[in-house]
Amino acid sequence: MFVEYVTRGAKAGLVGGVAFGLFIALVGNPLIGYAETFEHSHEAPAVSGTVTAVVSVAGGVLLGVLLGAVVFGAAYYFLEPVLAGWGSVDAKSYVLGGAGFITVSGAPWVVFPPQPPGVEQSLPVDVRIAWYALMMGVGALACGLAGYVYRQLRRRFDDRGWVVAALGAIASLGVIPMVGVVAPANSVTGPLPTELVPVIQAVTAVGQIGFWFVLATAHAWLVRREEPVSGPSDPIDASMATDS
Amino acid sequence: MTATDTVHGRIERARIELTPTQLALGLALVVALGFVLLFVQEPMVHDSMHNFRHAVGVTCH
Repeated sequence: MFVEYVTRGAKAGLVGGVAFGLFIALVGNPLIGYAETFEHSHEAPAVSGTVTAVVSVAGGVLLGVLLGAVVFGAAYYFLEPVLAGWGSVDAKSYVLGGAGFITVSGAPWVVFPPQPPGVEQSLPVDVRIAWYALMMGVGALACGLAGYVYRQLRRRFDDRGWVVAALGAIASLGVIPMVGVVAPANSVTGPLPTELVPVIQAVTAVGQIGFWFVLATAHAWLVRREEPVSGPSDPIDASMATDS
Repeated sequence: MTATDTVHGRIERARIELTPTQLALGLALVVALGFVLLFVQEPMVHDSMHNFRHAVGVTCH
């Protein structure tokens, strides 16, 4: 069953990855190419622009498959029984997609927002990688906490509890900016006009949100399509049911 | 699904289905791929993935 879940996640990831690869090809590559024209002194990159463009698109597809297998395969397998779905299987995919976005992008961006090319950052690279990874961990923990708090509050307040529970879940996500405050300051100087920086950041954010949305939608569709197949006919399921 | 569908139950099932070797290999693959995609600093790889990293919003260089 685990392998089937991971395979299904990877399939959804392929759909999300192709969508994200298209985004890189049609939006990312030209936009970054344009932003680079503002750089004054530019070291020659180790590979040609074409190689960067093609490998970056392939990287987008690969990232989709990787995150699909990990988040919508393995994580969905373990968390499916506790994911909030409000009676809908689709909602579970979207809840997990939201948590995936917060973990992989949202939480690290609190400390290191997306930057256009040519930007000089004051913190050294290894410190930034360590903090990026740390913030991913914080994001995952905060999402887990939010889910736990939501379930506990729903249980305690019965029918009308969903407002309290939703507020509790949102408050749990407040852990992320709190850790962000502790992070070392990273001052940024770049050659781009200041009006252009938020545009590039917004395009990047929309790209990532769109990526997770397509991923979750593809996963929800695959789950719905396979639904009647899974069930007590599974041999391990049957043996575990007789054990208890 | 059975009535006893819990996270604990899922972990137990995974332990029945997967060997520790499979688990370790899978984890290693995921970590390695993730690191190569997002953080590797080796010039050839790093520069090839330049646009990708900007599109994802990771700028560790």
